[in-house]
Amino acid sequence: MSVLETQGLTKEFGDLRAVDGMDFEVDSGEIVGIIGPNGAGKTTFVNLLTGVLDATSGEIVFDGKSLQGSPVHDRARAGLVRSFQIPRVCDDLTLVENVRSAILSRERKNNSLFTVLDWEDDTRAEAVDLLEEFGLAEKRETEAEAIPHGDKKILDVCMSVAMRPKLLILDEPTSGVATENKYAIMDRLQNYFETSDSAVLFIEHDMELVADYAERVVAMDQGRKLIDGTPEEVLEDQTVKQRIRGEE
Amino acid sequence: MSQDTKTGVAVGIRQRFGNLSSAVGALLLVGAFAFPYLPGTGQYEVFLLGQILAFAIAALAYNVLLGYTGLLSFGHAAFFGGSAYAAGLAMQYYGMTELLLLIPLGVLVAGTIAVVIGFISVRHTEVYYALLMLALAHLIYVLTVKLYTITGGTDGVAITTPTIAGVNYLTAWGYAGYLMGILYYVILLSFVVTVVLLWTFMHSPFGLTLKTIRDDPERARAIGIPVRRYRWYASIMSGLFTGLGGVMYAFLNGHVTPGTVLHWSGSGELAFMTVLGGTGWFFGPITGAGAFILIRSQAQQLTEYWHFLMGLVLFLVIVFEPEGISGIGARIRRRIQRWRGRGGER
Amino acid sequence: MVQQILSEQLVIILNGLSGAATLFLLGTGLSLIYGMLNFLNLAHAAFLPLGAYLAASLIQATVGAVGGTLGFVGLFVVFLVLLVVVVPAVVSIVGLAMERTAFKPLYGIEDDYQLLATFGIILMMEDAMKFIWGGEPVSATAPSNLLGTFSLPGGTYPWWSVLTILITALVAGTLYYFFEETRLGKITLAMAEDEEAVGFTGIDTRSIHLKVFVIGIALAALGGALYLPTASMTTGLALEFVILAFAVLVIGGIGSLKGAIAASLIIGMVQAYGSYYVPVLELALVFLLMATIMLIKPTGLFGEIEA
Repeated sequence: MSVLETQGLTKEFGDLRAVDGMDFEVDSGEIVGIIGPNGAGKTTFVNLLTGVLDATSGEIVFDGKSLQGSPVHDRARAGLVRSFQIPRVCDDLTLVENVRSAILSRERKNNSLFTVLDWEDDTRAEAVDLLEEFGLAEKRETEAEAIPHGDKKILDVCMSVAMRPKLLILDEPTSGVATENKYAIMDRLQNYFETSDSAVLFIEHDMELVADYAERVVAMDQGRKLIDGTPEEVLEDQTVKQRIRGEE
Repeated sequence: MSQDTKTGVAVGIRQRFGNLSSAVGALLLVGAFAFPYLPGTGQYEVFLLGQILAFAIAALAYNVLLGYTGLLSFGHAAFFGGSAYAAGLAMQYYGMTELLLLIPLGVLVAGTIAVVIGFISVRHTEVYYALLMLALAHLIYVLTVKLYTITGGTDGVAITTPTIAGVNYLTAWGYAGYLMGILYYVILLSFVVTVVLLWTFMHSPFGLTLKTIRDDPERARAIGIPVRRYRWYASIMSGLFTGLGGVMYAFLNGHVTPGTVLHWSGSGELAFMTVLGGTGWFFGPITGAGAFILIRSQAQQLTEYWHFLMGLVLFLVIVFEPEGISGIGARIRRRIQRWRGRGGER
Repeated sequence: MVQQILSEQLVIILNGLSGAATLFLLGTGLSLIYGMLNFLNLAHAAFLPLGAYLAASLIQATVGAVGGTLGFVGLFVVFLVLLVVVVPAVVSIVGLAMERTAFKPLYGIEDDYQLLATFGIILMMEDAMKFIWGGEPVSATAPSNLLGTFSLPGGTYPWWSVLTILITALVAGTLYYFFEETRLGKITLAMAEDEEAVGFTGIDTRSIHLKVFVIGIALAALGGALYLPTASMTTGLALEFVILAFAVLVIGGIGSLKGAIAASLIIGMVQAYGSYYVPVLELALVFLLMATIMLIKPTGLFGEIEA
């Protein structure tokens, strides 16, 4: 079952074609890695998918419906959720509050006025459970601005996961994280997704991670799709070796 | 001492302080109810406290936008003055004299203004929001002055004493009795209702949504929150309660002019009170309103350059202690905690 | 009859142009500084009244000292030098001093609070001006009286306003040349769009900041100085100017000189025609215009920066 499909997706900035005719498909439950050199258009592609940028031409169909004209928040609510390369979290809120905010949004309870959160337990329990899965439970009452960068990245991912996405897009989930923790994060993510049928799209520069965790890999260069196949196929491809792995 | 004991003591202190705060709060509330009957409190003191309460309502409402949603507004005078004028003009042209009808009327008018100018302003970034609100509120001010045949222009509108639940307390008890016996309590009750409602709202999922938007609007969108819409809701909520404060002020003062309730300086004063008291603590704006009214009542006798003082304090607070009075209070509290913590280790 | 209508129209147009002149001088600095430093300085609007007040004092002092002795040309030259050179220079120095003490601490602060702090500054400036010059309106019409008026069927019109228009046009032209043609100017405009990129090329961005800042303030002061001889100044007007400066910003676009020129002309004309035909709605018309632009083209007529 195709969860996401793009056809001829293009984004032009003046003369520059940041994304050039991307045809792309993700099935539910698939884990797809996206690789490419800096400037290949990976993040722009993600911004197009999530609605942060409007496409110059081309189509995006998510869960059977066209995303044309759909704003960022509607796409997120529909199940297209992303995490950020430079982590975005709410600094003055505690970790629990951050995650709870995502849960409440998922439950469409944002406009609930007469429930006092201090005295409500369901969403709180869910938030704490999720934080535990990702190893952040100890710091749950700390304000997000006080935690180290690596933890912020995890929190960012945590918030996205809390949305129970149909498609989760992770923009360089391990960048800025110490090497010994990279696998820990990816393992946790893998554990989490074992039991759900979310599709996952992750942008990565670390080829080993890509080889270990992705079922399928798409290589991008200069806004275009270079090759799309199994990790073995893609990582052994000549052009990929030159253009992308050469950069490692 | 082991880590556990330290944490235990800290938690215990927090609990004790928690109780202390609520105890102090309860005491103040009782004091407020008893105020007109305390020895030494005459008309002037009750009037002053009434003003503080009216502005506290408006400042709490202002903080919904500034402290909780991260939006600065320079246009709140439109809500404050709009509701005051609505009440005054309804009295003048429709002969409405019942307070219990005039209050909802004023609040509704303020809310309607908020719906309109909020809708226009939220479509832009925070900075433009502030200035758009200023511009639109100023428009209302100018129109009020220019359409003087309807609004009385710069002379304003006199607010005669209303009946309350049908009873004319002025004739029954005289002005002092009316003020200290019933009007003050209407204001106090409105204040309490405002505190209860706004506290609940700000600690509800709605409040958390606002705080999420405040801290990172992009993040908020990425978790499915319609940022623009919620900023609009926040503007309306803020406008409604600011209107409540405005209508209270109108009845307390007995007179409204564009200069006192619709002019931009009023919005500035609200911002000042809120920042002075502290935007991070729910009750902060109340202390700010109190401090502002008290200082102003003294300072105006000393200097006509009151604006300079206000501007200076505002500037210093923002640069050095953005959490205002409550920030200073928090620092003191933390220092006491640390001191107690060390002492407790013994 | 036709003559009457034509001269009415001429008066309105001249009013519109001189209004536009003041707006341009006020708004350009604000727009450039906001575009470049991402610092919306409400207090900027207070430099116009400051310029006007200073101009008034200088004019009165001059008249008192040398009023009778200099001939027409001499007195005119003195006035011109005072208003076009001395006032902007002095106010720029004040502005520079304030930049270091009052504005610099604000640069890192969150937008809302930063704006609020500049509001505090404008309050202080207002009262400071009230302290020095008093709360009553201040005027000094000597320069205008010197030049006199020209007659039209139905009335007279001051030459000073015409001079204001000419001087401002000259300034606008110079600025345009500077920004569009010279290297330094183009760098400055580029900085307004992407400062980091320019910084990478090794150019001293701080010194350019200061230059733009000073130019902006000098322009505002000039605006005040030129405005004064045919009008009067009170402290309360600072707010009116804040709103009008903001209107120039919105309609013209942030950081755009062309936008500032266009917006000033449009607003000036709208105000002139508005105050002639429907005085009650004059300000409302400006707002309507602002709202329309914000709906159709949120970045302003010539701006590229979304707000």
